Amino acid sequence: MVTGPASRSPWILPALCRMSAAVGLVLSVCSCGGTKPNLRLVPDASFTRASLGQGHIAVAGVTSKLGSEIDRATVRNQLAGILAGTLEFEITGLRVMSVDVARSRLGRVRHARLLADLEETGGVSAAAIAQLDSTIGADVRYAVVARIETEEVERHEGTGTPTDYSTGKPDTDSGDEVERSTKRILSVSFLVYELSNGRAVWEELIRGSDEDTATHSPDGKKTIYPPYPKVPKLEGAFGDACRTLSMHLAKPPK
Amino acid sequence: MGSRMDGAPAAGLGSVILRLGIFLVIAADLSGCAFLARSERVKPPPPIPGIDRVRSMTVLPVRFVLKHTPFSKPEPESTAMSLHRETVSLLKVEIERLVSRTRFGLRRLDTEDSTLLRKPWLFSLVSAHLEQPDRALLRAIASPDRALMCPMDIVDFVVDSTGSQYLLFVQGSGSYSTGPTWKYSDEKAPGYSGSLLRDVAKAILGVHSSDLEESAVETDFYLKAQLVDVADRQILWHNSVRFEKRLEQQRGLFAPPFFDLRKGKDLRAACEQLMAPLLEGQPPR
Repeated sequence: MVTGPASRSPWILPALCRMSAAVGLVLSVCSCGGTKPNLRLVPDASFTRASLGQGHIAVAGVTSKLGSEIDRATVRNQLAGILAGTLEFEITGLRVMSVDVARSRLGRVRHARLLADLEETGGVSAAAIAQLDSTIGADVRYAVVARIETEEVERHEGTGTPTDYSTGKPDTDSGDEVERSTKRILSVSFLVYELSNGRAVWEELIRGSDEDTATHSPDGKKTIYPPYPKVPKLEGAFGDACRTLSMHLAKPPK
Repeated sequence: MGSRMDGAPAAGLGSVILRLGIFLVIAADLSGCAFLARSERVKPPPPIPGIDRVRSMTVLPVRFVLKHTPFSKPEPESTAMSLHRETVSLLKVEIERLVSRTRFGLRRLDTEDSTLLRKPWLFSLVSAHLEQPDRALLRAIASPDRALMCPMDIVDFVVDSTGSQYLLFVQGSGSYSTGPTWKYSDEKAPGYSGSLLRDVAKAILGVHSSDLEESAVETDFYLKAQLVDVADRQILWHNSVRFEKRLEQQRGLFAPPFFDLRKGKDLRAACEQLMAPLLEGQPPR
């Protein structure tokens, strides 16, 4: 009885160590986020996860180049909420200042000018950054802005063999299962400024997407295609781009 | 003695497992993946910046366009007009009811027929708004200089009369079918009414149930809402809902029943779906 555990431990220990090393390796690979960041400028070496955690990051604004004046005005506030919510949720310990607070500290008129500037040029002028720095508060070190650059809609169609749930095996007698999907893909540029010196420390162009799929089960031997789903809402694809930003932000590309 | 010897390897194994746990947590943290920790967290709905300031809102008159589908049997104009009036009224009342049941107060703008009959100036403001709702929206979010150049509209009246600074613009469109679903092939091959002949005609004319084209929308319904902060000149929140049924689209075993804008319960369900993200929305922390 006594020898049991003692005799198991010599092989359990190395096995556990090997397993933990393997899991660590897998997690490290996961951390890369799967894709290489599409950076538009050489990242500032001083902009790291550690420096990001030293102060607040303010969401200064989100704009879009797409659609009518009303379309562009419609998405601004809500997308800024999504950006703030995603950064706060995905990056542990990050303190995010909402666009609403940033607007009230900067002033409505100046904030409206900042958004117009962002919508037109894709960036924020040095003067606007200086205004932000002087009004937003000493606890805020960085400000992030985003602009939706392009949008694409892709439609795919495919067939497959359905599964017979009673046996768990492919059901080849019933005909093909058909699916049609509609995908919205956005290109979003994200810019992070260090407020104290007005420098852009991170600029990345990210593709985010959201997809809806309709599946039609076989109807005897007939193949019946479902209609293509409507294009998913903008918010889903933008949220996806924000999640990718959260994975990449302030990490030097490998 | 025996019990002490039993305890020693167990304690050693426990310490190894503890160290392994610590290592895994550090590995997860260092890697930035935070996969282990995140799997237990539920992402809250995205915050709506500025929503915490909203204490009450006013629902503006609802613009709703009722369209005919090419697959409908013609109906008397009075039927469509009556349905339109009922739909518009139900949508406004239902959205107001939803708002008044939440933490937001409702500052109601009375646009019932009897009121509009008594107040012709209000009737003209409402009519102008329903004709071009985007004009009032654009003016509400334009810079003060630009807004001053536009004539006064329903927004000025609502702000002055109700004191509300948060206005909900709602508009939508819909169509419904009164005819049989094979009307589409009937139009292409008149005279074929039997099911066999209809199938043959469909095959010849290329009308396949296997390809439900975009153009073959039999019934649809679209509703959108935008909450405007008049003081800040910005759209705080928006949402839209859409339902449709394509010609010959079949009911799946688990598919929800098709939306019918002629049914009050369907319209009420659409309003609830439209407003849910706002009424349950959280302000940023």
